[in-house]
Amino acid sequence: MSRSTPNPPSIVATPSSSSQPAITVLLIEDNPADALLIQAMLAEPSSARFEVGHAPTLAKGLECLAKFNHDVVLLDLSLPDSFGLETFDVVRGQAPAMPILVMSGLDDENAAVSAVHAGAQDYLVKGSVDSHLLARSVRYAIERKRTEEALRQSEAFYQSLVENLPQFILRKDLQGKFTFGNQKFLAELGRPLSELVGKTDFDFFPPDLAEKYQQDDRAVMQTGQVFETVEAHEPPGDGGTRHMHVVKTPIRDRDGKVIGIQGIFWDVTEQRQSEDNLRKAIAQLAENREELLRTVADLRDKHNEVREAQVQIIDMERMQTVGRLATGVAHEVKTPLSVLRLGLDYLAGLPALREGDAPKFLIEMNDALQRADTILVGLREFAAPSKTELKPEALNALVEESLGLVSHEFKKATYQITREFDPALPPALVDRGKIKIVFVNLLSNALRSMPEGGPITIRTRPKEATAGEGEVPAGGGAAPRTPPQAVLVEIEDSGMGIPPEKISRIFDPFFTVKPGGKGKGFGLTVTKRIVELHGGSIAVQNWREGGVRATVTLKASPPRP
Amino acid sequence: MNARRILIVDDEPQFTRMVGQHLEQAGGFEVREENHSANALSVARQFNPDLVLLDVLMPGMDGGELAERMRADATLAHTPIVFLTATITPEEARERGRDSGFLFLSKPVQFAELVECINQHARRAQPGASR
Repeated sequence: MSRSTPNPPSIVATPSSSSQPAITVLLIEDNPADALLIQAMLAEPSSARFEVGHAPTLAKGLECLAKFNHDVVLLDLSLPDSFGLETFDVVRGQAPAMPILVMSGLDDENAAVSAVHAGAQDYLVKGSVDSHLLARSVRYAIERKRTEEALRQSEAFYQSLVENLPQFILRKDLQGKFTFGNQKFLAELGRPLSELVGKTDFDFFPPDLAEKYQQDDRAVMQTGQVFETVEAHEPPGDGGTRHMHVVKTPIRDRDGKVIGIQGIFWDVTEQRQSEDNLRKAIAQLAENREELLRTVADLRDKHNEVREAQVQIIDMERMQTVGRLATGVAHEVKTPLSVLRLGLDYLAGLPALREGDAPKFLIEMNDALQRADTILVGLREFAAPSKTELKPEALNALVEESLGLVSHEFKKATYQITREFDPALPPALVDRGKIKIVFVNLLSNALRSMPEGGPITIRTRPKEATAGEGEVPAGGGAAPRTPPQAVLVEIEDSGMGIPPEKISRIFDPFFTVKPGGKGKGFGLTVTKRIVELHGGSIAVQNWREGGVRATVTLKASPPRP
Repeated sequence: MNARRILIVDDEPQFTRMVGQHLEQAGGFEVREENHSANALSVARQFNPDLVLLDVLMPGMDGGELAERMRADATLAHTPIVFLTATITPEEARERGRDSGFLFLSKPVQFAELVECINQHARRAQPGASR
């Protein structure tokens, strides 16, 4: 009472009677004097304003409860239509969320205490209550009920969570005794909570498993650290491994002391399986992709092969046409050449033609005829390359012989011939007659590209098998020095070279880089053909400004055993 | 001294004339030119040559067939035959001669070569054999 009068002006605002909503009180009391007294006490100024409704009987009270909203009920347990604890139970039954303050006389205080046990917020003994205590009791009752209600709701909330979660949840104390298990866990064990609490893992699981669980628990309790793992279980008879994701956390008391553990676990077998399947699918996918890439690469190779074969077929057909033509031409031209040949021989025998310029002309004509014949031989060789008869031959000697065959060209200008012959050159597998055509053609091309003369280098050398080529000897140790697989003949001139835009066509028949139709445009075609008949290769390139290097690669004769 | 009788069969008149004139100019040869292979056999029987120069590729009967017929003919069976061919090289000509028993010369042939071949292989002209 005294507390309500002087209020500090600013810090705590005096609850003004108009701004603060009134606390509505339902007073169920049959004694009019008591009712008046209580109403009077509640009307006294305090920190709250009260509006009091009065019901003299339980029936009336229940009627009011149904009709109006109240914040609190002041309930006399002894009413004309109800008595004792039963009065409380009835009111409570109708309004379970309502804070109820029980009033009793000195004689039935026990019933009031029972009511408090049953859920009443407090009890007041009539006659020993002043207005201050009453107001405070009413307000505390409301607060307490509100807190209880919040707690109840919170509890219901958590209980609902715990019982509805798909996880198994359990709690144990420091001794490893169960203190709680949610419905899911109990269902798994097939026991009610009462049969769980107080038991240990050894009561439900095989000893080795129970021991393991308790070890894990002890680790959590000792370290205070969360324990998380995925355990594999082999349930009897079920077949198939089950995987459990387990999280164990320490339970602490108010002071932070560990007093037990809480375990949550759930079945992740399917998840595991999905992950496994996914991993397998990804691996499979990667494998498929590799295979696809391989197939694509194969296809590309095959495509290239086919295209190459196609080009070769077209090439061959063209060559065959040209070849037939060439054979005919060669034969037809040889006959008039024969006439010329004999005519020249005849003229050369005439004494009148042994004087003046005549012999010189005869030589020129002879030379021209010789050249024409060489062309025809080449044509024929190109058209119908006769079978090659490959024998081991010394290339140095063959090159030298070929040089002799073009010696008539040397008269036209001054050439410096450098021979870089490898004296230890292994023999090559060649048809000597045909390979000489190759060297003669290349040499005369070189000579004719240098009408003013100049240096020419002719080189022979073995070609060692490079890594990856040829056969690698089986077994470890140092590989024995492999004999050369091939021999090279290189002819380097210092002539006019080949225009870069024309270099790709030099092997085509009737193509020439020699000006004014000087060349026959056929030599390199025949040359290449012959080299290929030998299973060799030929490369012609500009090797420095104005010069051409022709490289002929031929198979070396395998050494005699 | 009796001239050696040479029969030359080639479908190219220019060539036969050139060979004929050349040989006659050189002296010691009596040359008969024939440009149609179909006539050649009867001409040969009648001329009774000491050596036949024979083109290989000819229209109608070719040189090979003609040679076979001569070999089958009683009077010509032993007459030396020299094939003149434009389709092989001198080296191949020698090779083929070795293999076949015939003689081969590659066109264009040098006159000296031709004469040497004739001298080497023509039958000795026998006084009684000629009319």
